[in-house]
Amino acid sequence: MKNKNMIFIASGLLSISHLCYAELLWSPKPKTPPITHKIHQTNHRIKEKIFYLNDNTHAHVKFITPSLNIKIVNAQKDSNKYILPKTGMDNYHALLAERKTDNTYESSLRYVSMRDKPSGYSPRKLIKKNKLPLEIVPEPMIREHWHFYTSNNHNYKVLFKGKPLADTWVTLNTSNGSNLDAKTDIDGMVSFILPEDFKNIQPGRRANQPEEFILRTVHISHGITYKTNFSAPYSVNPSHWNSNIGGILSLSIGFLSGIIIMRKHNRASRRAS
Amino acid sequence: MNLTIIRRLIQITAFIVMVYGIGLGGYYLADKLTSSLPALACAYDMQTADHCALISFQHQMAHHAAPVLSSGGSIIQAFLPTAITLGTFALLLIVLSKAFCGWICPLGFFQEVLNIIGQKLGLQQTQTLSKNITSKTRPVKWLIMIFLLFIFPLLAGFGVVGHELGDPFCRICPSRILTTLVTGDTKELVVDTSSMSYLILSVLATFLFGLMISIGLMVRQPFCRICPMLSLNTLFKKIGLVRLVKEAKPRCVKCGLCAKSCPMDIHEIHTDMENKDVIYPDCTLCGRCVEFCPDKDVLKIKYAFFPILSSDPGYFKKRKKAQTQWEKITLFGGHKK
Ligand code: SF4
Ligand code: SF4
Ligand code: SF4
Repeated sequence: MKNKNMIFIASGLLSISHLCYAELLWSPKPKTPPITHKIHQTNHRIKEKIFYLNDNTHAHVKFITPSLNIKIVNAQKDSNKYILPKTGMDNYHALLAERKTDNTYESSLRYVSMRDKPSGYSPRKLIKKNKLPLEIVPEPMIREHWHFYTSNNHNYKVLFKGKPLADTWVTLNTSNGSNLDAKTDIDGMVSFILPEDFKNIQPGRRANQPEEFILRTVHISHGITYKTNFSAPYSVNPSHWNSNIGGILSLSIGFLSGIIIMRKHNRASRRAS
Repeated sequence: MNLTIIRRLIQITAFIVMVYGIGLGGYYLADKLTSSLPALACAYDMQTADHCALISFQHQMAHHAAPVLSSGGSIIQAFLPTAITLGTFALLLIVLSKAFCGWICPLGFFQEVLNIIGQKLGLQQTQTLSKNITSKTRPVKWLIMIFLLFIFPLLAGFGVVGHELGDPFCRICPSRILTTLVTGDTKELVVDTSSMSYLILSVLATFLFGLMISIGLMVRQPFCRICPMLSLNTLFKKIGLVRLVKEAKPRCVKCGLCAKSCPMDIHEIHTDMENKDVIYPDCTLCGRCVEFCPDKDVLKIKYAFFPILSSDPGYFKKRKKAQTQWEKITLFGGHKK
């Protein structure tokens, strides 16, 4: 594969930091692989949003609201568990972790949709806002309440200090075990089709727990290695249990029924007059 | 130039904005604007500029109010987001009242286009539905509003009924299928086989959509007659600045042209001799009754206290002539009425 060398370089760069820390990475579950599968049940209570940082040694965590208010979040005692505070706003919030050492700058970003009062701000404000020196920006981020689905193509932009970073490798790994990579174009854009890598697909979105995908990139500037990742959940494409043919068939039956109803109605009203 | 032509131009513009809004305001426009629109611009359309209030209400019931209440939260906590959405919805209705239906709604416009197509194809048109039929259909929109927008979503949130009923109106809403289809997205024109309830709901939705299309070719605004938006905006009709005013004259008794022109078959617009405020629950403020009233100043559309259009014999004559000419143009020279 033509990209092999680059993956090698990228993973080499990633491993530099592994000398001291594990990767800075957000996850909705206590440990990334293995992920336990649990059937999702109806929410009877509003649950707290909880995330885990792979290794939070010397990490700084910020939670940014749609209005760009920054809240510092601390881990629960002696753990890598973070309970996200209520901000009184709905829509996407940014959850950021950063760690600086002499020659590295690591960061991890994800967007968390909160349920609360309407925020009154466009998510664009938060998503377009430069939050990290090296940042992977979803272009666009799926709208709130939408899902990243397998087989769908999504674009991302890599920015370094607010400027597009061209010719840079970005890797995509999924918790289902897929690995992809691609290089950014001149505008810093890169796109990935989320792989169809779910096994034992059950009919219905709720029957299949979402998995995680992680985009990573690395950039070296002035002797500092910048590393960042963007993670989000993705789900099985509903086309596995949705049938277009069925839809067209049912629409046609509806259409014909309408014609029959109207013919009857017209006949009856002609008789009446 | 007459009111209907102006309305068509506004409807076309609104359709483009509501269905393909992204090009105009960027991807997140829908999340930025009100999310409480009193018209069926659909949240399932990836490009919509703003979306209807109905989805917000259903989600607030199922995902906020019910969970808050069942975890011991107060009524205020539970319904605060709904109150905010309702407030925005009311503010919008102050500005345009029910005219969101007659002038902005993409689904309302689509049904008008269907009827034009039916007329041009020469299909036999049912200009006026009988009182018997309208009196049977009128309560349906109230039932849909109460049960599909509020009660079922709440019960689903409490876990009393399945989560499939968390947004039951969206499940059967024709705008979801229409607005996604016209953006080239077929993911809503589907039968969902993942569970029995989804199967039933999706078959019902696609069936209803087909039914609406064929009936819409021959009857004006078939879906509007059961649309819960009409019941919801009726609750706020007193605060709207757009008003439909009638000053009945004795000649009204024998005339009835207003009711004949009304796409929603509101017979009362003709028979009501007392009320000045004649915005009935089914009214979409399209203004046709004013255009087709042949008597001076009997029917008026006003914005606050300023008259926009008053019925007038001269206007009526021209409008009637234009209508007759328009209706003469058919593809196969079929039925006229
Ligand atoms: S499906 Fe209908 S009710 Fe639901 S968001 Fe779309 S237009 Fe509104
Ligand atoms: S009543 Fe008709 S015009 Fe009004 S919101 Fe419903 S579908 Fe649209
Ligand atoms: S009463 Fe008049 S304004 Fe209202 S729907 Fe009928 S014709 Fe249109």
